[in-house]
Amino acid sequence: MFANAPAWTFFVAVVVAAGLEVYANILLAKSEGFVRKTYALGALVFVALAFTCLAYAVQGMDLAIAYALWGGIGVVGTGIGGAMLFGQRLKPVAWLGMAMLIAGMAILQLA
Amino acid sequence: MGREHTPSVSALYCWLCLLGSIFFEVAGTSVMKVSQGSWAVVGMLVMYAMLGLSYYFLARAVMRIPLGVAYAFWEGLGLVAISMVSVWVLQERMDATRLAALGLVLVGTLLVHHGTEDGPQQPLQPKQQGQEG
Repeated sequence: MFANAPAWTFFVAVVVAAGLEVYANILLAKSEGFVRKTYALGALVFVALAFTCLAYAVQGMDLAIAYALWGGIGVVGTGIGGAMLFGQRLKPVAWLGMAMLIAGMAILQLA
Repeated sequence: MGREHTPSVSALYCWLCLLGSIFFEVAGTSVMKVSQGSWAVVGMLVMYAMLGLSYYFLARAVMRIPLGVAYAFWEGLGLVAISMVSVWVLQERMDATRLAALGLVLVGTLLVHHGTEDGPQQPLQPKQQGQEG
């Protein structure tokens, strides 16, 4: 349906999907096991939006590539966001992991 | 935080919930990929339902399993399962370069989770060093 769209739009869709999913996970954590319904509902809305973007992305990308990019961006975003917003501490091994993630994602996108 | 006032769920129950969550997420994502053209709307509805179940089970799982551990399993097992679906069901291209890159993403994900200290609900420690990242 969107197979003729420019390639960069699929990549942008993956990035947007990752951002929406990070926010959904924050809301999910606040729902305390789906007990707090407003947060739970918000998490579901944002995850639905995230996967709608991902559904667009896989029209122009292999599923394994889109999923790895989406997950990897989500992990890097959550890690840096958690450190900046919630004061989580990242050990050196976490920064090594981020470097590996970015390298892996770059290879997937460029190779 | 939720752990103190939800002592009734067992650890086994939470791990089964985590596996269920991963299963529904992988299934929903796979349905999303294969449902194109005239089946797109039905496929999307099935996907939304499966994602709802996935997040419900994930939320149950993190009642006992630490959030970072749960996400590490969710993303790690999810990526492995999706890659298997990609090769064996969708016949997508998989060469040594892609496999190595997927391996980097997988190991990187696990390292980030391993090296992230949990505790987003706790206030910042009154420590002056190490904040510049």
